Amino acid sequence: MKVAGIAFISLFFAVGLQAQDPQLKQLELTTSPAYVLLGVQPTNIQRPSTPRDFAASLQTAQVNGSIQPNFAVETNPFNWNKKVPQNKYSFIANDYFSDKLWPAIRKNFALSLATSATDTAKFGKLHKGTGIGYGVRITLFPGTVNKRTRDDFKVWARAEIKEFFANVLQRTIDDEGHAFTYQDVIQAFDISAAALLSKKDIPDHMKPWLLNELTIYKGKIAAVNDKSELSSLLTAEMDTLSREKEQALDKINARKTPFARDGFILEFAYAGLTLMQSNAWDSSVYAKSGIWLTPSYRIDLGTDQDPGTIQSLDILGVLRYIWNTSRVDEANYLDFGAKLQFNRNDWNLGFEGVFRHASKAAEGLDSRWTYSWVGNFSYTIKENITLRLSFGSQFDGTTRSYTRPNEILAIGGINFGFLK
Amino acid sequence: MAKYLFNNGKLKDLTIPGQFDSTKIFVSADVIPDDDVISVAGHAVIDCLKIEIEDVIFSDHVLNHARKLYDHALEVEVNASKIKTGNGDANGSKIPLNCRLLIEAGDNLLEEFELSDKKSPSANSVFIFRIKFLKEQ
Repeated sequence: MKVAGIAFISLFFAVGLQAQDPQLKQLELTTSPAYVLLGVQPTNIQRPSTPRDFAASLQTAQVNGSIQPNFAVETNPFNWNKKVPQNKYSFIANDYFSDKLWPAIRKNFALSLATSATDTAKFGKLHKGTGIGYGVRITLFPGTVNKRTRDDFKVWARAEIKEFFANVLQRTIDDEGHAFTYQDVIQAFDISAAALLSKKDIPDHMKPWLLNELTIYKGKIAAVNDKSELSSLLTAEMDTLSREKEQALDKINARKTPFARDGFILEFAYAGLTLMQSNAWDSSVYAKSGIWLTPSYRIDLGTDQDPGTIQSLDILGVLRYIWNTSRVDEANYLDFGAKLQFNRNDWNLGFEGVFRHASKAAEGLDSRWTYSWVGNFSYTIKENITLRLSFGSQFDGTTRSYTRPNEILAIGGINFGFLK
Repeated sequence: MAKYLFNNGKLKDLTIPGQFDSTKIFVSADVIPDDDVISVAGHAVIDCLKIEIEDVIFSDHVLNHARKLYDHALEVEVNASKIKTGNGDANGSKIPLNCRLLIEAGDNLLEEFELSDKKSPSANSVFIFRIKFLKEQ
């Protein structure tokens, strides 16, 4: 068995944050799919995240026995011509609560390009040179906004619609010359129901439930026939409702990341790799390609007693298939593995293990298996700078090296992300 | 909930120049937080000849032709809820809001009124503007 060590240091810098974009994780450039095929990825399994308009990453890794730079860019073309809303401060609820497939794909679609020097350990009979990887990742299931924020938002939304119903009715009956009738209640209800259905700060999926709540509330109000008694009731109701709204909002607003998503997230990725042997364009050859799925499930461990502390546990997996050209390896690879990661405020700690099974063994050798294990520690030094350390073993290069004696590999470097 | 009343709740006179007699009067409300870590939700109630509900931030809500508004009062209640949509330690409820009310005749700005909850910001602030339309003598 080979033992390898990976030490990976990442520093991420960011500019131009998008206030309206509910990021899964704001400032971290994910492992580019193209890095994976180049064999210079700091981790095999990473929780899917929302890409920026444009992000770039520079890292260094050990290739051919010396430290060499790798560069990657990632972009979401759907964001290039995205119009800024007329009022960028309006809360558009569907942007945050939607779990529909197409909006999730548009928001979490990322094209990437990466380059690195290549060696003969990972690329078999191909000559050393420069590899250019290209990849795409798509989030198929985006998860859901955490339950605490969902529940508090429902309390706010219910109080909000009841409050404007009560407000409209009170304004109607407050006119001294106005003779109160049941028609006033119906009119206030109709105005409120129409306003509810057109409101953008309440997600569409919540509106039928709120319409039902509003109807029940109308029944409570309609039971009062006396104008002065109704006026007193409405005043008291509006006080109570505004307190309910404030309490719910205070809980949401005290959290560090109120709209963090948890639950099940599924990402699909594809990457291809072309290798320029001896760094010459006319010697470039297609080398390999791969597809993979990254399912993850996040459990929110935070509490309202300590809203300043963010805690969660991620359970992740990976299922990947890599096709090699015969000059890289006679075999193709099937990778599968799992990762457990604990996240708390500015740091996280994770451990992953991935097995690789080759479609056939190299001539004269029996083993079809290799594996990788990595422990990660990540610490956000300040809002836009993250330090990451990884340590473990990498996959053996090709099936020809699966039965060689232990070989120590090391990758280390600095990774800069420029995000827009 | 904290209430903020423009002109201490008294009606503010707004004289409409005679040239706009037959022009439609529009009202808009803009709510701007000091920090974009929060977004603004809520509603506005517009009470002038009839009662209507708008989003908390709205633009070009038509009232009527100027000549039909003379000597009538307009009350706009902007009920703004702060929702933290960004990340970080900041308490979203404590970020101040500025609320502007714009009155236009057609495309001509007649007056702009402003209120802020800077003195005592809370999760839900209500800004109330009371205006009386007057005919130019």
